[in-house]
Amino acid sequence: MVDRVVAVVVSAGVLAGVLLPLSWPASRDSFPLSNYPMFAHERRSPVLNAVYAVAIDPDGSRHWVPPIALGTREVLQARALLEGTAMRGRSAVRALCESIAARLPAMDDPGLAGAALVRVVRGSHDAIAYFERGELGQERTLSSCRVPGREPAGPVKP
Amino acid sequence: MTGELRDRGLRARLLLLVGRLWVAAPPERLAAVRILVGLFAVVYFSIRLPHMLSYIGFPDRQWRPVGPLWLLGHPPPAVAVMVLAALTWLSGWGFLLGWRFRATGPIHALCLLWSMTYCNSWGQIFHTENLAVLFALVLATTRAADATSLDAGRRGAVPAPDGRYGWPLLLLRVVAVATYFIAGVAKLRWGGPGWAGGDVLLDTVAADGMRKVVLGSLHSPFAELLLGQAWLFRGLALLTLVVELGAPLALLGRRVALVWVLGVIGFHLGVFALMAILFPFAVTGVAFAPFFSPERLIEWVRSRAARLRVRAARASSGKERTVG
Repeated sequence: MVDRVVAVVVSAGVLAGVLLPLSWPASRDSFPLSNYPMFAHERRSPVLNAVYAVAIDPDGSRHWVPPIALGTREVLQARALLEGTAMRGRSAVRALCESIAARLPAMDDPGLAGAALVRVVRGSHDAIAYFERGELGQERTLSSCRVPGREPAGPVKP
Repeated sequence: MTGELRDRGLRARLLLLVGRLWVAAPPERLAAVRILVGLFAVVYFSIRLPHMLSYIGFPDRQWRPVGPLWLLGHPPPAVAVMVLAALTWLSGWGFLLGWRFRATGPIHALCLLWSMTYCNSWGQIFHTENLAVLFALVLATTRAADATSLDAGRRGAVPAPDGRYGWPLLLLRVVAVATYFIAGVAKLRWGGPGWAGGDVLLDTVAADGMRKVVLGSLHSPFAELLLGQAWLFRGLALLTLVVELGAPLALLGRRVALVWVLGVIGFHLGVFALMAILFPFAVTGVAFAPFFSPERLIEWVRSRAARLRVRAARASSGKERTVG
């Protein structure tokens, strides 16, 4: 009998918990209970608006800054860090830019390790145009900073 | 008097329902699910550990607590994170091996919940971990170590099939099905009719690939090749909705469950191919073990191990004889 009472109580609690997120709005999510909103929101175009960082080497070539240079290995965590920092304003972005610049010389990728300048930018790119024709959209620099001990970068190549 | 009669009727109906759901299952089946979930938890947590420890260096202002950590205004101190990480890992072995499961089961489930919630409390929720944590929490409340465990070895006799080993399996099946069903409902609620048409999926896959490019991460080369094939994304979107909204059908029986599970694993492999996002709990099949007879797999592994041991013993005695 005790086993059956435990079964009923545990089952009722677990099912109520798992189904509860059905009543949540789209903006709310949690863990381990979730309404699984990933990929559910209506996306009306393949244009990506995102905050990210680029490293510029002395000859002006640009390199995408990977999550590890932001102190994490998770790409989605890197996104959360960049977007969250951009929302906190110019000084927070500046601090993030400098922390990236401090990490770059230790990177395995020679392009990143030899970079002279870091830019944190907000970009808007049509993904289809990029993958089909290699075209990038528009970028606006939120902050830029020099990698410690490096000469200033040359003119940035497209 | 009428109220009393109504109460008795309600109680009788409730008992009847519980009786129907109280389907007997062998203790080895529940134990096998415990072993698979425990093994997954130990391996996954070992891989996730460096990521978890990397959050210690994150600035406090990045802290966005969710779930059971919701009330924590600041991230926990580094020492607490390290101690709980060690406890999660160590108790995971107790869970896996069924050692003092009455204690190690709940300790591991709660530590895993705490550790994974901590990892998800930095502004990004990873939906790849929810089901594994829910499974561990459910198993921790059950008699999942009555067979194929160190506890069972100490006790000697293995109990007969019983409903107490059957209801957790049914509950785990319902939990697995519910998560996919909720994901399907979310797509219809928030994705709108465009979701079923494939345009939303195509744009989502394209934008996800682009995001990975600008964030200096690996993106799927397949997505790049297939973005021009709109018809393919229409088919994939429809298949996704069928798999997710059709999930409750898997509760009807093993054959339907097998079809559904193959569909879900195919869907996850498709997500991996197009977006480089892996759902390991589902892809390894651990999430679907309660639908089948995983004790056969454990028995097969045991017999293989026994055969290998016999072969090794023979080889070593043969060597001794040659030397002699």
